[in-house]
Amino acid sequence: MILQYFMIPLALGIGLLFYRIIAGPTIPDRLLAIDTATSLICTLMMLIAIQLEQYLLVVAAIALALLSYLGTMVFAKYLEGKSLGE
Amino acid sequence: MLALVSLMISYVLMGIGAFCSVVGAIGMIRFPNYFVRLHASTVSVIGGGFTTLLGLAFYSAAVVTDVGLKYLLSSGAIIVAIFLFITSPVSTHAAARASHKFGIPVEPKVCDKLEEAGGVK
Repeated sequence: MILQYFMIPLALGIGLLFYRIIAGPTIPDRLLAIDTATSLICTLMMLIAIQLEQYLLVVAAIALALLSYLGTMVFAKYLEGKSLGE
Repeated sequence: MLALVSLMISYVLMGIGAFCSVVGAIGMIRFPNYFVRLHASTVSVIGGGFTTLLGLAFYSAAVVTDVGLKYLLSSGAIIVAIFLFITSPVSTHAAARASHKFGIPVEPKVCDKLEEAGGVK
């Protein structure tokens, strides 16, 4: 199995994005870094699921992608100063 | 034969994905302000996530021996890839628009049509 060598650059990218989450100067920087890191974490979960041949992580990755989209839209509404219904 | 072609396609796609995820993350570190970092975010999500997930679908179809598990893992990877491809531009556009209203300055400014039109309504 060669998939473990493709995990190294993905994990490196997630680590560099976590630096931006911690040190980002403004709130939208952190929001953008969290959105990007969640997409890469979904990809890494699918990689681990196919490496281990376990199907449970697939369900978790789909749920994480859905929740990431929902969280980013809610946070954008909060930054714009509107409530959710508008 | 088909498994070999599928395996080679998956290696090419996952190689592109690994390169783009590292390049996008370096861009997120090194770029100077928010509206420039949006480009690096798109490189990291579409180039790193979407391409790697497509490669994973091909890899799972080629390598995994259990028939039911093979198609379950492959279709799961394609579902997550399509979902990322649809929702990532939408959420990035919403976040960029909201942070323009929030007051993040557009730093190398040539032309700002949104500010000339009176900002986000």
